[in-house]
Amino acid sequence: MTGPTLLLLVVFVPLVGACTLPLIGKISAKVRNALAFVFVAIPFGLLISMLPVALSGAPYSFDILLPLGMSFGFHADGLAVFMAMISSFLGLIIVVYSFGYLGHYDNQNEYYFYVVLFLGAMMGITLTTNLIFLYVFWEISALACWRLIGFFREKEYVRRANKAFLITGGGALVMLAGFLMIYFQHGTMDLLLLRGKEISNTAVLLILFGILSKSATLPLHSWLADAGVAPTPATALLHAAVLVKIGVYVYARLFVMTFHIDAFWNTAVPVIAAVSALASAGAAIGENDIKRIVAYSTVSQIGFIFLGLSIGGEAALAGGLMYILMHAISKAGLFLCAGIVEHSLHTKDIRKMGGLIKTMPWTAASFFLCAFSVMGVPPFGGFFSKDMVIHGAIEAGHPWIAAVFVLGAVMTVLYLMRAFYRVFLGASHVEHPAHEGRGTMEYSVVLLAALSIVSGLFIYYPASLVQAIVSQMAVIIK
Amino acid sequence: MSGMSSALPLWLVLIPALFGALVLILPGKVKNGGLVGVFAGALGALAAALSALGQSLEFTRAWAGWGMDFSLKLNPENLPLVIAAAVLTLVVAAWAGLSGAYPAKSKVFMASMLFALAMASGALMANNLVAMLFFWQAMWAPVFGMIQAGGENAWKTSVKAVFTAGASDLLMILGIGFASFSAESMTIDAMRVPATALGSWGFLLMAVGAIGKLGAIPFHGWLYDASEDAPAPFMGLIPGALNLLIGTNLLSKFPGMFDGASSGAMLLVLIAGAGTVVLAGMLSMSAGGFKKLAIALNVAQAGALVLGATSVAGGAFAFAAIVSAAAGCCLYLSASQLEKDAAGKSTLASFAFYVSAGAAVAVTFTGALYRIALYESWLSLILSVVALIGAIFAVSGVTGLIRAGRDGEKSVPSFDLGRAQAWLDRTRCDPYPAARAAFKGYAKVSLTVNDAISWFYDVGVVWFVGFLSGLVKKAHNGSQSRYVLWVLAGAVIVIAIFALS
Repeated sequence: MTGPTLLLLVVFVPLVGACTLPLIGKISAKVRNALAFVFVAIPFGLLISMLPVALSGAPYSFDILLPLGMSFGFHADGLAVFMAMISSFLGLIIVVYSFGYLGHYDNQNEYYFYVVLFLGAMMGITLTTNLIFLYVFWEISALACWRLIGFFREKEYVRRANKAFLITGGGALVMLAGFLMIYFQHGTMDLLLLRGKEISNTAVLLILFGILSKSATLPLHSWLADAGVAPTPATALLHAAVLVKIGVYVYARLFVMTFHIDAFWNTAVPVIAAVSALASAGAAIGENDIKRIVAYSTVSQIGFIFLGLSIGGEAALAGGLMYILMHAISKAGLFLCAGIVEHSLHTKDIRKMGGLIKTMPWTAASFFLCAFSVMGVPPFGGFFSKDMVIHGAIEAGHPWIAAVFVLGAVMTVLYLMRAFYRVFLGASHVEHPAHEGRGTMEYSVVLLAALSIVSGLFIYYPASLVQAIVSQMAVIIK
Repeated sequence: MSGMSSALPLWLVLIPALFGALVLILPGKVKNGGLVGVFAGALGALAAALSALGQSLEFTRAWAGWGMDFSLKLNPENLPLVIAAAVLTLVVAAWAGLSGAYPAKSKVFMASMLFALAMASGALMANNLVAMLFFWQAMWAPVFGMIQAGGENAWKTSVKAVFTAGASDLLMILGIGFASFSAESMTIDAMRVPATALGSWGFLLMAVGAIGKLGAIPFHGWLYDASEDAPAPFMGLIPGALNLLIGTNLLSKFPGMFDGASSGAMLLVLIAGAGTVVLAGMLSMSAGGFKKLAIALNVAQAGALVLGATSVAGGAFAFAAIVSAAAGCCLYLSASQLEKDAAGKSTLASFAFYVSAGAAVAVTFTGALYRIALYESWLSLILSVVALIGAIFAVSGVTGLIRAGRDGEKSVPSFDLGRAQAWLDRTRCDPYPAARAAFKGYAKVSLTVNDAISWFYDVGVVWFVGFLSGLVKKAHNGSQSRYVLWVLAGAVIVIAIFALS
């Protein structure tokens, strides 16, 4: 298969495949589930096969020119393949988990349609070479996200879904204005042609608004905590693995790899990230809803990623990219563990839990391992990423910003330890007998917990991959 | 001194870690399997360490990039500490076996002992700051596991222990960042941190990490909770022995790593050391029990070790570290035995307790006297004298308990320090409750801010959009003239945009 064919398959297998799922689901739920898995597994497999080429310096690429300076194309460089691989891999685990979680719910056809569609949109966002198609895929993901959050159809849930859609969709519209400014300035929306071009601060601000809304960064973050009403696997997909990472990916793609932006942003964005990290960590300490705690934690940890990507310097950039991977794995694990607990107890209030380690030892152990990774404890993967980000901030000449993030890391320890002991240790306040999740649910969280520790123990491999990507980016930046 | 390339340093970490993993997966029905595993793992580590006597060995591999190499170095300076760690693990395991003090969940507990030994050995040998941090921080998991094994009520203590360690370790990350950036290297024996502002901050924050690991004030509060809730072997092994070894080992590297620190940073470290000795001395006077006295004496000797932080390296420090670790370990184990015996009549345990108390007091005195002999400035002299007074308080604490034991009464201080003593007895100088309250307050403020932002979207934006649409609705009242006005206004705006651009 040629490079362009592979690229088209990566994006369109899930996008087109998603549309067939509701029809197939009417015939057989099992076949639909199997196909949902296949439609996500195919891009993942293809991306693995593309990785060596992506890192070789001559990645697969194609571009079809359209009128008015437009174009349609995909470009699979190291950063794009890295991000798409993470998304599709976690998407796979989440689809498998969904088989157990959603077994007795209605509207499963719709659920799988939107999950696979969302992943297809994510593939498009990572690989596209054109700003306008970036916007199109972005909005497809927002639509899918909207329906997934409101999946249970209760009035309050739908209101929250609307809120998420309005903030992220509104943010996207503002971002579109920024894209149009670039178009008027340079006469093209092709990212490959725009490399190295300077853009105005107004355009940066507008695009950043969209990015921050998608990545749930203060003050555009409140939709994320509210989105916890979605089915747990969807929450994991949105909060941890994929959706919030769209923003940080696009930041890296546009402001690190493509445009030359004012040095002012190298301070402004880390400051925004620091405020966001601290404010949401404080909220996580005070929350009693397990999903909201993990959601606020996501907002806080996204701050670390932004810090790494925005502060400048290769070490910080590598730390930021590595944390995209490590955080996605462990945070997905935390959400899915929270889902198992909620599924079993029918409550999200940690004050009504306690002592669950006795009845749910696998879930407890998985939560513990994933939490330690997010805390940045060695030998887990999170340790290296956080360490590199903080070192990078110091190297970039921002020791005080690094200090603020260390405070954020202390708070991370506090709220995750609090959540762990309130849920799994201490005296039991459980009203119904608790039990472990179904097979696929347990396998999924155990796999993510194992990956959290294995990725740290064998850090040489992910670090080498990230190093290769950063080297590629550095060549492009220079 | 560059060492011969060898995998032996790595094996010193792997042997106990692998035995720890083995203990974890051992079937529950294997009787005393955990205990046997600990003996085997610690003996294996000890044998491996002994085989390196007289050699200088190095194991370095590329790791996470950007100067973060996995580098371990075993040399005549740190080898005694590695051996001491293995020996003390064996001692604690033997004591646990003989006294039957290891808890019911012994598999997790015993495996954690081995993991702790592995991590401590790694931290002692690490020749790269990130590798050291890796092992240093990885102690959290065994600490958590071992305290948890103390029973259902131990969870609060385990959280407190991990949070305390977290606060000091994370500050040390910052210090490592400052120091390595200033020195342009992360390799410990190649580092020379200049005496700049950033370098001084690096010195100070790395010292905070070491102070936290040693359990000096203000990072000592969790020890009191752990002495009640955690199994006694935990106290003997981790805060009593391994933490003292690795904390002191790091401090002993300071003279080689730092070209000097600002006088302000140095003064703060001295204040921490002298303050710890004097406050711990006061705590020892009103300890009122063997366990509490053991904690106070250990904290006091930790303060004395901090006092010598920047002035002496190598052998002398290694000796001080081993003596203090042996004393600390023995203090906790014998104190636990004596309190279990209720009347404290066990002759052997009493003997062990008072000998180790004597050793701890001797370490404290030596630290203070050494600093006085060093004489750097009037201020440092005053602080050293304060520490010496603290050491005298510690002696008073020990003699008070001896008297009380003889008379069968509660320990009474030799002299009354009035309100200061009462405050100390009440608070134990533990900042944890205040930190907890501060974080609770901060959490409330954060939640309020988040709620306000949420309200803005939920209510404010909705109201504003409703208001705007109401205006638009009013503007479109069906009148043709109104529509003409709209069109004209739009045309003016379009023309204005073109004119301005």
